[in-house]
Amino acid sequence: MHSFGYRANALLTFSLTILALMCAMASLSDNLNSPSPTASVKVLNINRFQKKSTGDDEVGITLDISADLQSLFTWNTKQVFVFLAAEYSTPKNILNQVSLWDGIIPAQDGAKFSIKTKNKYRFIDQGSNLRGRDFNLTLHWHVMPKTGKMFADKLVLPGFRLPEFFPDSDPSSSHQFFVSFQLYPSNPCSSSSPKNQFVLAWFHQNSIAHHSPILELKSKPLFHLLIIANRSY
Amino acid sequence: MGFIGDSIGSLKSINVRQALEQAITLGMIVSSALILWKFLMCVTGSESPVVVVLSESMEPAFQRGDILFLRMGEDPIRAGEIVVFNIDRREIPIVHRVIKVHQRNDTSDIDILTKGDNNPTNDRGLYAPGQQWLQRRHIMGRAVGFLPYVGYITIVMTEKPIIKYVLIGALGFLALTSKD
Repeated sequence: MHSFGYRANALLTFSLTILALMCAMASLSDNLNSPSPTASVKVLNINRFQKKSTGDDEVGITLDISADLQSLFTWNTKQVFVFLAAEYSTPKNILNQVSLWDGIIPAQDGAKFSIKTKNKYRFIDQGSNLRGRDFNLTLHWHVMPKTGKMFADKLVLPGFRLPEFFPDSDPSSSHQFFVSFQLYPSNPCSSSSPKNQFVLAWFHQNSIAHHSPILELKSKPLFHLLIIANRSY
Repeated sequence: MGFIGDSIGSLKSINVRQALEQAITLGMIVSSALILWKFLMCVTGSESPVVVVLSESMEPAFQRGDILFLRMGEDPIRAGEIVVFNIDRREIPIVHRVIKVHQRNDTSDIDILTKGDNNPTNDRGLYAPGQQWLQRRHIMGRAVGFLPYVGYITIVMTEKPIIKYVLIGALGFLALTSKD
């Protein structure tokens, strides 16, 4: 009845019960906290637009994120994981969630922040739907407790829109670019120049409308070579 | 003589009736553990309701040896959730966070991309060759609760099997020699 084994067993059981009870109480006490976080996000710039070789659209953006998540912290909080996701729907997908930026806040001191950042994760659509697309930016947070139940919530910031046209990548040039080589007789105005010498003029066209010769020569080209190349990403 | 002498003495005094009683007690313990496990499976809807974290890929949120409680639920999976998924032909399930979700319009198909908080890149390198997305069928559950350190004993036991056998032996010995 009062053997060593019996006493050790009783002690172990009792201490484990108390520990479990304390963990449960710590987790339950999280429910008493009613947080009131605030956040605001601005899109500062659309940096680039690409069509990947798979046909998927990709954009790069610069974000200004400021938030105050201090009220999420309780004594049972180990860390808060916060991330910003672009959320939008397309004809094919009822919901697309693309995480653009995330951060881990280990303590309450760091829970009030304001940063300007480029998207940390690539903003790639499943398909080609990003031109003129309306989207929400949603700030999500996941509260990781020291022990017990995990909490999550979010703040939806609606009313963002990607532009229809991107200055850097007009539809006619985003896939292809043109290089044309033209061969001219060397300096046709001067009779002193040796014959059989030619000048290679090089033209680079981002689109057909903008014809920008490197050399301006006023004679007819002897030879013309146009290269149309796909821009590789 | 003390504790050891008593134990040997009680081993000697075992008769058939007592041995049967011991066996039944042992069977009750094993089957009640099994009942509890199956009950948890039913309640949570997840095929493994409790998992032990084995890697450092989710630090500082989860460390090696922490225990996670999983739930499946009917709700669609959303970005930010921590899910446990199984890759085809990979034995050990992985606990990582969802960073991308694409949910179809017509069907309920869903494409999911995950990443470990502590990893520099997403998980496409961990998926099967050529696999770009996880589907619903890969997901075993999502983490809803957390208990630190408790699972460390299982890691010790898997890495040093001798400890497992010593522990099982000692428990069996105690079960056989206990008088009440």
